[in-house]
Amino acid sequence: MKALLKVIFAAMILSLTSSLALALSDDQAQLKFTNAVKAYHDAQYVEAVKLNESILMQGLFSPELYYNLGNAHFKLRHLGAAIVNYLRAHRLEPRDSDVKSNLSFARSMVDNYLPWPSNPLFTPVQQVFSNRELLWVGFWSVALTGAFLLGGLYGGMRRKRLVLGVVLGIILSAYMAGAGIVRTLHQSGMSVCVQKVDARFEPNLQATVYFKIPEGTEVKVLRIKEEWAKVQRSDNKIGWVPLSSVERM
Amino acid sequence: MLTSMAFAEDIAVKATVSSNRVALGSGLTYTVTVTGAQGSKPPVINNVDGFDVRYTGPATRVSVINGAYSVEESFNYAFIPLKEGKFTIPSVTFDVKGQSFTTEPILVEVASAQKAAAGNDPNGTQQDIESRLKLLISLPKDSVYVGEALPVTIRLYVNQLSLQELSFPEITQEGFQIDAFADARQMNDVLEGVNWHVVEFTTNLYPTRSGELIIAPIIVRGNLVFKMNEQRDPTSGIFDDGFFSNFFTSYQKKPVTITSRPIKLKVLPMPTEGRPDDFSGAVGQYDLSLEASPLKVKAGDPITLHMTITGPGSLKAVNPPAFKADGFKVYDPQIKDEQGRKVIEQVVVPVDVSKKQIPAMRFTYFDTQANAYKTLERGPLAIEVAAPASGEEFQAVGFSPGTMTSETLGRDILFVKENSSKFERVQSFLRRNMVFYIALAVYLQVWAGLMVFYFYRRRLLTDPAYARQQVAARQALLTLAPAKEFLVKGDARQFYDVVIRSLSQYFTERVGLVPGRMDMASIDAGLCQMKVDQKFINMTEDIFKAAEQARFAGMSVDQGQMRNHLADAQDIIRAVERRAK
Repeated sequence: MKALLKVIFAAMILSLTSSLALALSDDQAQLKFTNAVKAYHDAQYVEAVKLNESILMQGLFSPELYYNLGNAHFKLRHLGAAIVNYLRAHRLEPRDSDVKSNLSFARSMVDNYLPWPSNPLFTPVQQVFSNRELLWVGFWSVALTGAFLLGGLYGGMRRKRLVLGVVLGIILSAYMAGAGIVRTLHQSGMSVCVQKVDARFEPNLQATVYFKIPEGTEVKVLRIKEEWAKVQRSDNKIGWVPLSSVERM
Repeated sequence: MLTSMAFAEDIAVKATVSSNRVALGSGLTYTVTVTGAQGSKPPVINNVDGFDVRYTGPATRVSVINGAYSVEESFNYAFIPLKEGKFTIPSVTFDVKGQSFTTEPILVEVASAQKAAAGNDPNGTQQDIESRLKLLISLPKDSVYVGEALPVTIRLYVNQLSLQELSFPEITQEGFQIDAFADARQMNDVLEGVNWHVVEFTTNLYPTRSGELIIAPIIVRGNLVFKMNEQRDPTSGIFDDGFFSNFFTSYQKKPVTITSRPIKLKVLPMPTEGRPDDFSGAVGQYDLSLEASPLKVKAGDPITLHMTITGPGSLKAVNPPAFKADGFKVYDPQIKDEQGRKVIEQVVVPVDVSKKQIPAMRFTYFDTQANAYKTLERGPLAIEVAAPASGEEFQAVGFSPGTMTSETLGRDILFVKENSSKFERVQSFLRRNMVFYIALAVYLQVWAGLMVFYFYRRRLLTDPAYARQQVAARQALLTLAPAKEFLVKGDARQFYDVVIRSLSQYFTERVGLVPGRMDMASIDAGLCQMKVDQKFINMTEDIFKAAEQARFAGMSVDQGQMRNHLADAQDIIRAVERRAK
């Protein structure tokens, strides 16, 4: 019993300490964020980028942080870095009109921009819900469906209503899960070229150039070999580019 | 072949024709050949009576025979006969290397194709090319009203000539509007006893003013094609056979213009008497249809009117019926001319909720068959106009105050966000959050447990045998409880009564033994079937033997043995339960 009390006490201390540390780091991040906004105000875009990235280095993030970081990169004419940060912000807050506007504008400045095809079945919900929200909606759909099923069984609900409710719940949860999975699969490996680069047939500088990728082009990384990444463009052309030229979402 | 020659030292000049007898509709080649010199300019030949002359180019032949070199240059001309008769191609004078040469005139006879084939001319009549081409115009009537469609048929007659690359007829007369020509038709027709090949063109004329108009000569252009009799080298013997004659045949084209005779046409003005005010010039026979959609709208929503005017009359002068009604915003109609009909689409917007109908649409025209004005009326069409929701009130585009007509807008990113939402840690992603998975597991376990309980309870309620089995052990242990009292009292008979009754009841429910037929053998068999340990079977036998002795033989049993048997009975029940599960 004494041992158990010791364990509980130690856990409480650990929890309190980590909560305190988190609160402190959150305050520091807010301060850096405010300073980054001020630097942006003063057209100190390099400083704004540094401050925002230092928050990310702490393991903290927020959609506004990515958005502001994208803006600072955009002002520095880092089109690729701007787009990748807008995409991160958009992934977290798909309903944010500012993010959508800036992302759209940045994309319009990419040479020969070719959008990736979207899935018409899931696009409507993907434009509204983030992956986390989709997961929660899916989870609660499953939970409510289960509860509905139990309630129906114990409450003596009519069989037709019970089956209809359960089927609808399963369809809703499957649709939400499908939307999240499809987007996750699509985003896995999605990267943005942060500089204009030549895509080659082989992963070495002597290989023949297959096609050119303008800065800001969204590509899918299929494979990484040492310092090279095998990327696919939205028109399905595949080539090797230096790993440093792409930044993953 | 007729040849004329002129000589000067080593230079010789001669003029030849491919044939001195040629059929009208064919052609001949006239050649001026210079021997012993090269580089001369071709002689100029024109205005030859009875022929159309065209220079077709030079030819040079060089030959070396036994070391002797010779050169010969020829200038070729196509002579197209224009009429029948005997004609003389005059002598030609021209310079070769500073010397003047003159060829001899050549007599050529032009005959009709039949005469040329027969080799004589019995009638001696001359017939020129123009008489073998006729352009005739036919009109269905000689008087029309202004704006009335007048079908015109233009026929080109061709006799024994090859005419190609025909143009559509050209009508340059003022006072008419003309439709595009339909595709030309070709046929054969007999005219004045002669078989003609006919090309027929059709169109519609629309007089634009009244009075006596003259359809001026209509012109059709084309190229006459003449088969040429090529001149060949007389030394080339084997090439004179029919096959090579056809092989060397060539053709020449001659542009030709065929004109028609003028035709008078009386164009009547529109009667002023009885002319409706809304008459806009449509002349002919017509029909009008009217549709509108949607018929249920909110004030400010558009309604599209579909009107179609059909008929054999002229659609050129047809103006769409005018939409006249208060309480509507009216847009300009969209008009499409289709084959034989005019389709009009017009958008009107009711701005007044009191409007109950689209007003009747009227179309007035002059009926050329009845010689009277007629008015077609379609509608009115009933509509339902509901009040618009707040904020959806109608506003005429372009009339609202402050509307900008054009503006150049700058483009840039939107400004940074001043505040951030709560920062999250990377571990806060659900897929990395242990609490999420624990909550999920607990939920699933609770849910599964409740489901299992539901189905268990349901079976208890619906399966009596199962329900009895499930409660048999508990029931047996309960019924064993009074045995303790008889144990304390030392009443062995009552004690074993209770124990045996409890076990029998239990074996009936759980092992499936029949109450009236239960003996030790059936109990052994039942327990063995359930694979109950032999130890418990033996204990059962001991209890049943002791019970028989106590109950029926009146033997005394000490309390220690009774206590053991009670504990054994409970153990037997538990052991059977374990095997049953």
